[in-house]
Amino acid sequence: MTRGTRRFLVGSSVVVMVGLATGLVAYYNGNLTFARASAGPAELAYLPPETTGVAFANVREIMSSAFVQKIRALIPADELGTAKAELQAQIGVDIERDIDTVCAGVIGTSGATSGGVVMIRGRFNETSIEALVTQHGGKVENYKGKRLITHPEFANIGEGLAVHGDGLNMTPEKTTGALAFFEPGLVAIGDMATVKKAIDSAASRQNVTSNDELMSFVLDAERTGNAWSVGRFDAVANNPDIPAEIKQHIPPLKWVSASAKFDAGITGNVRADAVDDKSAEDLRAIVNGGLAAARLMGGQEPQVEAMLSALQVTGTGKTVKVAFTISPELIDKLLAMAKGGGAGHFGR
Amino acid sequence: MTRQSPGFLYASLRVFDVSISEMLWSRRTVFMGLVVGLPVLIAVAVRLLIEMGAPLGRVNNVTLGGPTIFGLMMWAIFVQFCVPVLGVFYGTSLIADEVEDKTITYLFTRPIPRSAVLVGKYLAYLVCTIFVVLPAVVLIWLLIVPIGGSLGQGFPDLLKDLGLLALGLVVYGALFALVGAVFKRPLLAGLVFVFGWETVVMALPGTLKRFTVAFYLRGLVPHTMPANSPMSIIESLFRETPPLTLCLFWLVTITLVSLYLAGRAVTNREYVLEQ
Repeated sequence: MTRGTRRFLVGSSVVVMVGLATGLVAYYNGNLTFARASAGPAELAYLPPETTGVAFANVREIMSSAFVQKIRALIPADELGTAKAELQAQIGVDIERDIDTVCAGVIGTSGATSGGVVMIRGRFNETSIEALVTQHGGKVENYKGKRLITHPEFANIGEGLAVHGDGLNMTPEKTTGALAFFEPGLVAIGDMATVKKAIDSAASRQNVTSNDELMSFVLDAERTGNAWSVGRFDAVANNPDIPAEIKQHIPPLKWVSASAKFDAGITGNVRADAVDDKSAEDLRAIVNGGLAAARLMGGQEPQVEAMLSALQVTGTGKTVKVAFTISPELIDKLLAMAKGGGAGHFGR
Repeated sequence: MTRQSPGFLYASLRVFDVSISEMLWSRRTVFMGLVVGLPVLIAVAVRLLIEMGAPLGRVNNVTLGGPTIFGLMMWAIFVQFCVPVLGVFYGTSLIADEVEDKTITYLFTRPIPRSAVLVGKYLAYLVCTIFVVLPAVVLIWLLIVPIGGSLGQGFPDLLKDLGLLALGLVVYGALFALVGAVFKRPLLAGLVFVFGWETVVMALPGTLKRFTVAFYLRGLVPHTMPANSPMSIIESLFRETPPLTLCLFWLVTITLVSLYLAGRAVTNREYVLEQ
């Protein structure tokens, strides 16, 4: 082997090693605790490790997007103005300007350990909200330094959870709804047990950010949208309240996440992780088949074709991804149809 | 005192040592450089355009992100073209070049098994092609994947791609080493196999595709290609992906059997040099 050959081989090896080292650092960097703690919304610190579903919306960004401005133009101005004014008068919150983000978490799937909490970040007049609730019969209690407000009306939230969940297993705490101010500018609403669990999670720093699997989905979804949700699909499928006949037909999926970015148009991604490669491949085939069928049935409508062409199915291994784009022009057409009462059809 | 003949492995490594420089600095490597360098230049150009503010490419109103572009390049350029072509051009010439240059006599008069010559040259081909192709793939990955994507998330796929390409070079090289040892016009036979037999058979339904290397190699590809055209949807209907273990089994079997048969052919054949 000549010296030149040796140099060439060494140089090639260096290029490959540098690339692999870069990839390795990038791969593990996403999983290191200190890096992960700064990833995802800060509200995740309040969700316990057993959280099975998370949803998030950057309300501020969405409300200021061109898409929402177009929707707003459809709603009669006086109707919107009246609703806003009423809410502002009652709780001192301008829903269009004072709410920055909304984050929701679902814990468990059934039984006494299941529940949900919604955390809203923004600018709230805590004093007036508390006064309003206590004025109407609400009670205030302290839990680990946080003020919890309960109200008989909030029990309907718990009741609603009981009716739609597994009523027989609901504890008294679970049927009681609560509103809590976790920190300045962050209010949480949910059933009492879950709200207390959220407070405990933040205090102990044992929270959902330690769930590597869920966090990888959260980071992926956060990167691609200003509204997203991530959930354990198998947790839903394994719910004992679902009849066996239905369970047989539920696809073998483990995780499902969806994200959408609202600006002038809407760009979205749906991702599903199957239990194995074969299931994922079958699912990709089903989705592709569905798209092909839709294209055949869509006929010559250019907007339908454009919309279907904007759907892209990708994914590797156990992952199935569907990306879609709704262009601003298509949105204008749809809104024009809605304004016109749905008469007529696309394009021609 | 008679000296013992060198062992098979030692002989192969000696032939490898001599052949690697010859192979690396030959005209064929210029061709390989062009074949493999073009995707790198494309990647550089794409990245420069993105950095200068050009929007991400859109195909049928679908935005192509870095990971998708990288997957497309792996599938369309490397797996379907570069690897088979490099296998053909290098594999068929392992012995054929020596015959053409009339230097095979010098190799065969050495007190080493003839098959060791083949194996040594095969190893030189492997090193030559792997050390050119894999760095190119890594460079493309570093340039393209961060566009709307994440290096961390794409790292497992990169490892799979590198392994897949190396395995492809191993298998195609062994197969065309056999073709080179057996056929009179091995390059033509190799090109017919890759661009004729494999291309046609892979597009047809049925079991004929099991008699190709591409069937098992493509079964290992980690990227699912975007299927937003009727043709790709039809292809996906006929596409049958064998299990991973079956792919690996047949690829290793093809390699070992091809090398064994090539070694036997080289050992038993009488090479008549044209005057």
